[in-house]
Amino acid sequence: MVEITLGTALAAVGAGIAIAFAGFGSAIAQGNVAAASVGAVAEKPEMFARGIIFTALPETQAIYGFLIGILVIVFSGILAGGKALGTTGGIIALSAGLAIGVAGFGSAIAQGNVAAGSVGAVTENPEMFARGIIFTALPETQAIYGFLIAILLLVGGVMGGG
Amino acid sequence: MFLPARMRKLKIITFEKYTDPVIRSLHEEGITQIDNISERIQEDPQWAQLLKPSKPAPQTTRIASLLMRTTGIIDFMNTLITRKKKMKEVIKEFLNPPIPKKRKVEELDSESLIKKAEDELSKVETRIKSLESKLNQLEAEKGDLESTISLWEKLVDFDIDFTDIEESKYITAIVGKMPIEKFKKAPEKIKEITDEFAIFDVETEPPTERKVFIITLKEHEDAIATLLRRMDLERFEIAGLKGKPSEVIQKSRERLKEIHEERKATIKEVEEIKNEWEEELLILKEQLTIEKERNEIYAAFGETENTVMLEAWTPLKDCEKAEEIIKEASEGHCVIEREKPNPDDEVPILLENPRFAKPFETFIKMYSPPKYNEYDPTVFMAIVLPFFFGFCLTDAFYGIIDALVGFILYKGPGKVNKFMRSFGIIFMACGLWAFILGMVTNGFLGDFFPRFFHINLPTVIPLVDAFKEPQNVLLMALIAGVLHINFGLIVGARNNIKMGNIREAMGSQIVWLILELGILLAALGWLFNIFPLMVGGGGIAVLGIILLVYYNGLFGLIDASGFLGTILSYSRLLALCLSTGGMAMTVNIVTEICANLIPVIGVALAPIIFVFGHIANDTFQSLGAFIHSLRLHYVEFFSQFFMGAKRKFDPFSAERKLTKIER
Repeated sequence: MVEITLGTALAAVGAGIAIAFAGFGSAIAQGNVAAASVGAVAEKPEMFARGIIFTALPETQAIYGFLIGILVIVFSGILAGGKALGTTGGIIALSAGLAIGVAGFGSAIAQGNVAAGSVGAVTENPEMFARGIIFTALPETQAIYGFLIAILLLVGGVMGGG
Repeated sequence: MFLPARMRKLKIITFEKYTDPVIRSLHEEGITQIDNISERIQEDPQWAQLLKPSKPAPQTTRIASLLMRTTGIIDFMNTLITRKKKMKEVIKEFLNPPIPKKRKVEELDSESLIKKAEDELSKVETRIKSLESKLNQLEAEKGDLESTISLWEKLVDFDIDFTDIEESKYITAIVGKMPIEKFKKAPEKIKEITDEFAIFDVETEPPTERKVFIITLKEHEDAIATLLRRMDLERFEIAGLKGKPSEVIQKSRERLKEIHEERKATIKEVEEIKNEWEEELLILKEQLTIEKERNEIYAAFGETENTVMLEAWTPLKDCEKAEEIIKEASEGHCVIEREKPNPDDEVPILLENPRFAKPFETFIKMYSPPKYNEYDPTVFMAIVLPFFFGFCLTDAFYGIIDALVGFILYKGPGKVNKFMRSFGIIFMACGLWAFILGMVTNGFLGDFFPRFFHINLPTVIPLVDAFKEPQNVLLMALIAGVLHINFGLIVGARNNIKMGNIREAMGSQIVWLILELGILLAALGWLFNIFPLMVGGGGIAVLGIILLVYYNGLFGLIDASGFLGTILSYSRLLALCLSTGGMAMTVNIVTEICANLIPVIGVALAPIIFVFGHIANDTFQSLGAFIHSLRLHYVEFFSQFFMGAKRKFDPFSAERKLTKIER
C-alpha cells in the first residue's frame, strides 16, 4: 500500500474536481444537444450522423477533465509505484483540477446551447453544418484556457517534483 | 488529384426536333449537369432579344399523373402485404444480399411510354380499385359493428327486446347509469311527475353506480329525462335499436368474423395481383420517373422558333464524350462551344480522388464541398483519419474486430450498397491503425496479457506504453496535432496565394508558420546549448509576433492562445486512448473478480462478462474514436484553410436500378 501524504491527498481531490465538474458540465450539455438531435432526426432522418457529431462536441470538456485527472493521478503517487507528493505540489495539483473543472463546466454548458441551436439550424438548412460547427467550437476556448493553465501548473509544479 | 475535377461549360445549340434525342442521350450517359438559363433570359434584356425561355414538355403533366397512379398502386399493395422475415433470413440477406437483375427495356419516346403505362395501369387498376373499395367497405362495416357491439354491451344486462319499445306508439324507455345514492331517491322524485312508470336496475362498475332502465309513457319522457339528468344520469342512446342485446351482439360478432375472412380473401387476391404485377409496376415507375425528369428539364432551356439552346457543365475528362453524344444524337446539326469557368461562375463541384480515398469523400461532402480552386483534402483525410481513429482506440484486438466488421460490410451489403462499401473500407483502414498502435502501446483487450498471462506483447515499445508513460503518448498526440495543423496552414496559404489574397495568407497562415519555426529553433538551441540557434530562433519568433500584430492587430495576440488551444485539442487522442484501455482493464478486473470470488456460478459468468463487456467497450469506444477523429478534422484542421462551396455536381442522369436500355 502506498503511503498517502497530505500532498497526494490534495492532488486526489484535484483529480476528482477535474473530472467531476468538467464531466458534470459536459453531461448537461450533451443531454441538451442529444435532445435537440432526437427531434431533428424525427423530422429528418438524414440528420442522424450530423446530430451525433454535434452531440459529441461538448464532450471535449470531460475529456480535458479526464486527462488532467489522469495526469494528476500518475504524478502524485496515488498509483502504486508513484512518488508521494509534497503539500505544495498537492495544492498545485488541486489548483490544476479546479482550473479545468470549473472552466470546463461553464464552457460545456455554453457549448451545449450553441450545439443544440446549430442542430436546429442544420435541420432547417443543411448548408449551415460547417458554420454550425465553427460557432459550436467557439465556447470551447474557455475550457482550453483552463486546460492550458492546468497543464502548465502540473508541468511546473508537480511533474517537476513539487 | 488535389483539386476538384476540372469542369467545362458546354453551350449547345441544336434544332428543336433534335432536342429530344440529345436530352435522352445525355440523360442516359449522366455526365453533364444542365443549368437553368431560362431565368437569365427573363432577367437580361440582351438575352431576351435573342431567345425566349422554354417550357416543360406538354406531356409532363400526364406523365406525372401516371407516375402518381403507379406509385399509388405500389404503395397500396405494399402497405397491405408485408411479409415478416425471420431473423435468420434478415441476417442472411444482410450478409449476402441478392444482386438485383436489370431487365432490358425498349427505348420509348414519351407518347409510347404514356400509351404503355395507360395500357398496363388499365389492366391492373380496375382490379386493384375494386378490391380497394371492397376493403374500404369492409373496414367501414367493421367500424360500425364495433361501435354497435360497444353500445349493446352496455345494455346486455337487460334481457329485453328493444324492438317492442322502438315500435311502440305509447311507451318509451330511458336507459343509463347513475350514482347509487341518487338512484335510491329516483322513484320518489319520478312519482312527483307520474305514477305510470316501471324501474329496473342492475349492478354495474364502479359499485357506487347503478344501471337503470325506466319504462314510462312517451308523454312523460322529457320531464323524467330532465329530472334524471339533474340527478347525474348518464343516458345511453337507444333510439333506433331493435332486438335483444345478447342476440344482436352475437350476430354482430359473427358478422365480424365473416368480415375478417372476407378481408383475408381480398388481401389474398391483392397478393396475387402483386405477385403478377409488382415487377412490371416497379419497372414502369422507374421508366416514368426518368421520363418525367427528361420532360421537366425542357424548362431550363432557351429557344427560338426552330432552335433550342442549353448550357451544361461537364467534367473536362468527359467533354469529348459529351460532345460526341450530342453530335451523334443531333446528326451533326448542332453548335457546341466549350468554355473554361469564369471567376464569377458558381462551378458545380465534383470530387475526383483515387479509389482508396473515394469513401472519405462522404465526410467532405457532409461538411461542404471545397471551392473550385481550393485544395480537396479527401486524400489527406483518408490517410490521417484512420490514424487518428487508431490513436484514439489503441487496442489491437478491437482493431481486428473493427477491421473484420469492415470486411464483412465490404464483402456483404457492400455488393449492392455503395454506402456500406465505403464504410467497409473506412472500418478496415481504421481497424488496421488501431491494431498497429495497440500493439506498440500495449493495448490488447486492455491489459489482457499482463493480467492473465503475466507477459507483455513483444511488440510493445516501453517509451509509449500508454498507461506507464502517458506523458510520452501525450507528446506524440501533440506532435501529430502540430503536423496536422501545419499542413492545414500550408494548404490555406497556398489557396489564398492562388486566389490573390496575399494579405490573408500572411495574416492567417504564414505568420503562424514563422512563429512556430522561431519557437522550434529557439527550443532546439536551448536544448542542445547552441547559442546562435537560440538567438536566431528567438529573432524569428519576435518577427512572427510583429507580423502577427501587423496583420491582425492586437487581437492577433489573443488569437495566439486560440492557436495554442487548437494544438492542445489533439490531447484528446491520448485521453480517448486511455479511456479505451481503462474501460477494457475494468472489464478484465470484473471478470477476474467474478471468476475468483463467486464459486461455480462465477466461473460460468466470467466469460459472459468478458465477452459482452469487451463488445460493449469496443462499440462505444469505436464510435467515440470515430467522432473525435472527425471532429479534429472539421474543427481544428478545416478551420486553417477550408473555405467551401455551395454547389455539388449533380449530373442529369437517368438512375436505372431495375432496367437497362436495349440498344
